[in-house]
Amino acid sequence: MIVVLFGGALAGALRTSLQPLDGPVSLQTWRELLADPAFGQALSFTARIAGLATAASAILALVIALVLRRHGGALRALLALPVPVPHLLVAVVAVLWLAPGGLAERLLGVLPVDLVHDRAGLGIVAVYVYKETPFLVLLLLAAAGRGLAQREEMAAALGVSRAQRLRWVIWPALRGPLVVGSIVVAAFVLGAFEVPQVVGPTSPLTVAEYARQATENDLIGGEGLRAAALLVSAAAAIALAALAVRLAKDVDGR
Amino acid sequence: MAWIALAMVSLFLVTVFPMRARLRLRRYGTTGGVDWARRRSARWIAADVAFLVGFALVVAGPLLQGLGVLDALLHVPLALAVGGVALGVAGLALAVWAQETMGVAWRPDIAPAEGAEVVTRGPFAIARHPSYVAMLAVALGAVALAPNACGALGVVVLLVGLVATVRAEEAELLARYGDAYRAYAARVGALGPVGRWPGVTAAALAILALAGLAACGGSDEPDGSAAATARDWPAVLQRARGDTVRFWMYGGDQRVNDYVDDDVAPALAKLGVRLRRVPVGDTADAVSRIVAQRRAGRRSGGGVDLVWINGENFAAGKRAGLWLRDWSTALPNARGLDPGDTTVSTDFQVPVDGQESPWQRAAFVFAYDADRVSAPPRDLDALLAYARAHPGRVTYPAPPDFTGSAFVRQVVAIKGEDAAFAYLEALKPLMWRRGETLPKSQAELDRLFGDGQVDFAMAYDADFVAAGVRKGTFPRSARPLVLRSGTLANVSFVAIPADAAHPDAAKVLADLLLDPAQQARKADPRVLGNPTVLDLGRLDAARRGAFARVPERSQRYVPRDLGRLSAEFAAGRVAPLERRWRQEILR
Amino acid sequence: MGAERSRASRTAAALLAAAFALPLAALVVRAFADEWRAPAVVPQQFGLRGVHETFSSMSLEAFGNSLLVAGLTLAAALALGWPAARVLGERRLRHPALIFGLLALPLLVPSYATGTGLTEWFLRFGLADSLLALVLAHLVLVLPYVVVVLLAGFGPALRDLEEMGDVHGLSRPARLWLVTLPAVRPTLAAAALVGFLVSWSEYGSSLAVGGGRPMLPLVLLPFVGSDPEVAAALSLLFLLPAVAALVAATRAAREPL
Repeated sequence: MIVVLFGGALAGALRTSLQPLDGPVSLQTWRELLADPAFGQALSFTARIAGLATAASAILALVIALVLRRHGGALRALLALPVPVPHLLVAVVAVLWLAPGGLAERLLGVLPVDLVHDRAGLGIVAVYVYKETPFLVLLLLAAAGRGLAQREEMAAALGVSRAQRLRWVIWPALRGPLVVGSIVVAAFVLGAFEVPQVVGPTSPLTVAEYARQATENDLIGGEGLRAAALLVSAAAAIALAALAVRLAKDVDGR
Repeated sequence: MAWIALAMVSLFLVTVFPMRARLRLRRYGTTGGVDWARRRSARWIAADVAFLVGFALVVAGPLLQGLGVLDALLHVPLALAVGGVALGVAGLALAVWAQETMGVAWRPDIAPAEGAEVVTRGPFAIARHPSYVAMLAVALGAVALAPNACGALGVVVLLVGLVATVRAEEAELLARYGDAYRAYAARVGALGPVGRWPGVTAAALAILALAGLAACGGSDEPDGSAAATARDWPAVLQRARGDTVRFWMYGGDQRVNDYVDDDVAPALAKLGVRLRRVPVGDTADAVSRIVAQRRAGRRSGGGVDLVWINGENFAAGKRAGLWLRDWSTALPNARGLDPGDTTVSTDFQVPVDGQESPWQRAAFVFAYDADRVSAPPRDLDALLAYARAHPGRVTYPAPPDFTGSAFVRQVVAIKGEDAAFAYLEALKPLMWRRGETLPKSQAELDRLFGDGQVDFAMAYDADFVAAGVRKGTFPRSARPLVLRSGTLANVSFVAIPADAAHPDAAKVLADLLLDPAQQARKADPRVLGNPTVLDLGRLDAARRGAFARVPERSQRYVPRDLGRLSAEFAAGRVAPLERRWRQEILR
Repeated sequence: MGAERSRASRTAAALLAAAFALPLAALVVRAFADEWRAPAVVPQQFGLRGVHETFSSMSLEAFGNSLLVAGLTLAAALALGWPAARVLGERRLRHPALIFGLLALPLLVPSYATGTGLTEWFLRFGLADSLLALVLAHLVLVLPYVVVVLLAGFGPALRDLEEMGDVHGLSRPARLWLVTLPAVRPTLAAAALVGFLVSWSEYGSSLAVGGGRPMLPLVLLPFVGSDPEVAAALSLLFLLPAVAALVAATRAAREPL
């Protein structure tokens, strides 16, 4: 088993070395990148969105998982419907509904808040929350399983109160998958461009969009910038993951 | 590079052995010496031989390379060189540290005469034989700086020798110190972390090796010039027979897709060539693939045979030498083109140079809703006046979107650059959403227009109103609008990458696209409504007849007259204009 | 008291589920709407243009290809991911963090970066444009997801269960069938679902490495934005197996007792 695992790890290492460490990512490219004010804006904007989206999805997912724990497959299946839909499609559906002139406005008459192309990026957050919450819920429910229900029942039988059950039985079981799932979500939001492209403002851009635009008109020269920008978001995601893992260890005592 | 390696290794040797012995002599009065008698058992001999040979090879490697006798196996990028030096320095430092820690117990040989105890402090807490680790590090560093067969072999042999030496020494150390040493061995690895986690080290080494491999290669220039047999058309046809052309083209327009699938593919099949249409969301994706092939060092067998392209994509490719050369002018059907027509011989003012063949014409056209707008503006100033009278009803896609960028160029073409930007500035507060946010693509603007949120749409496609109505995105009251002061126009082409797997089949397809019958079909408003790139005057009566059969362009969705056409800008001017727009207008 | 709470939570659950499922219904309508512009709540004109595109030969070929690749990738990912997740989950390693980090890297790095790098390697090795290359490229992205999901379900608890099986004298295969599989079924189902979906939706690698082989996301994407009706219709085609997989997974995940 360990051999297979090491093989997998080696393959993983192989894969990571496949990042586009092209020559173009030189010091010059980095200087250019850091000097561009648009990039700074992109960074903070992306960070804000990622943070908001991840937090909102995580909390929502937790609540929903708790509620749905005991209910049947049909409801779960309905809830999980956004999962198979690729992000781009979700974004398009979002525009269909939430844009000015979209279905929501046609039905309600007027839309109180700007959700598409708004400078705060709320539309982007909404789309991600819509798409990622079911994913997290699935993850949590998979972890909850039968064992958890049994333990909870035992605790209830022993007279442990609801709140205490939540804290000592349920939370520890769900915490791991929730953290891991949230990291995945955050990393994805940091790196994806399709949703912001469809639903996001013209300015500020997200880092991924910025990267994409770098090559839109200077195909070969821009690749360096694109690679650099993407490396930044990758680094951010990795740092985030490392931090979260460290935190989990501290709390867990693993 | 090789000399640096040599210097490094020599420095190491000198510091670790002779200098240390001298130091010892000065400090403690004896050098310690080597007990040769003990080292005569087979096991010791083998270990010593391997060790010495290995080290000799490691030293010889850079020496031979520096003398030009041996060649480096791969090109050493700066990163690797720095790494090599770092390794060497680290190794040296480690060796010195280990020796200092051993203090009086150090000697060139292992067997202490005095009843010394096992040293477990300092570097010995990480590895039982830190000096050997240091040696290995220096050897690796030298090979990194001068990677040749000799040095590489040397490292391997050295490693074998070190392991053998360790084994031999440990046998004696265990015998001498017994349990104390056993306990120590259980805690600390023989060669340190390297021995404990073979998987991790293997992975790390693999990464390094791959990074090294990645650094090399990919410098081949693909053979850009087509054989002169482009002129020998029957031979080209013959070679192309039975091949498949992978035609990478934008896939978001159902009409073009259908035209290619339903008209072009069967015609091509009659010539014995199979057409495989590869839809992409953006031509840049196709170019990325070609660039990747180039970076990977492939000269032939590329996955893209023909690509629908123009403008900056083509120009960038041309600069990088990606396209097959000298073939498009040799196509039989190219004689239907007017050589004096600059729209066909230059692409955004970049000379085509026989590297791409024309296919479609495009003109920048607007759309308005006849039900909502009774007197459409006929020039830019009228548009501005309209925006003033109806704030929030005019907008355009944000550059660097293709259409938005073209709109900016259209304004610049009519007004000149500075006046154009003044115009756009003036327009901004009157735009949809007060100009703070713009649609990000033409498709989005189409939707806004169709939904009645804005009053005008635009596209670099003379036929887009007809297409929009057909798609249901535009109301049936939509009408095309052409500016009086000059319409931006361009031609789009098909190009063959230099490393295409089936260049002949691609040429056959390009020729077919220029066939008058095909061009006529394409010009039919029921199919595509795209004006031809051919010069009708150069066709004989029979071929010209195909065009006569095309229904009159009297449909209300097609501009009757495109007015005065302006040529496109130089490809290199596009990006600066977009940048200026982002800086001045978007802010 | 208990019944009331349960009814309230049932309604809440139902509302939640509906809230998530409803917006997608709009997609279905869009696919059949030849004309649907504001301010109409109902399409101005229904039609089959979108459906026509869905049944074109390219779309169907793309459908088949995507299905094949996704299936192969999933099988490989499960085969490789299972042992990985077991060892990681049961903490048998001395340095799990490193291995886990390596495995999870494709999750953290934007897929464009991974994709470009892979393309280059495949081209170097002459693998590009083959089915193997496609599957490998997808595998790189799918494997981490599968392992992450499996990890959620593997752990010391599972090992204890298996030991119990051993104590009872079960042979290895029997133990697998009677103890291990039922215990991890929900996790396995979730992992299979996620794995399948990631491969099914993958665009970047399929384009770069596929060599022109039609795949459903590649055919679908160009239409998004430029032709909403066709995009919606193709989306429905796209969603069909995806939703089927979802349903299958939820079924499999249901507690048997």
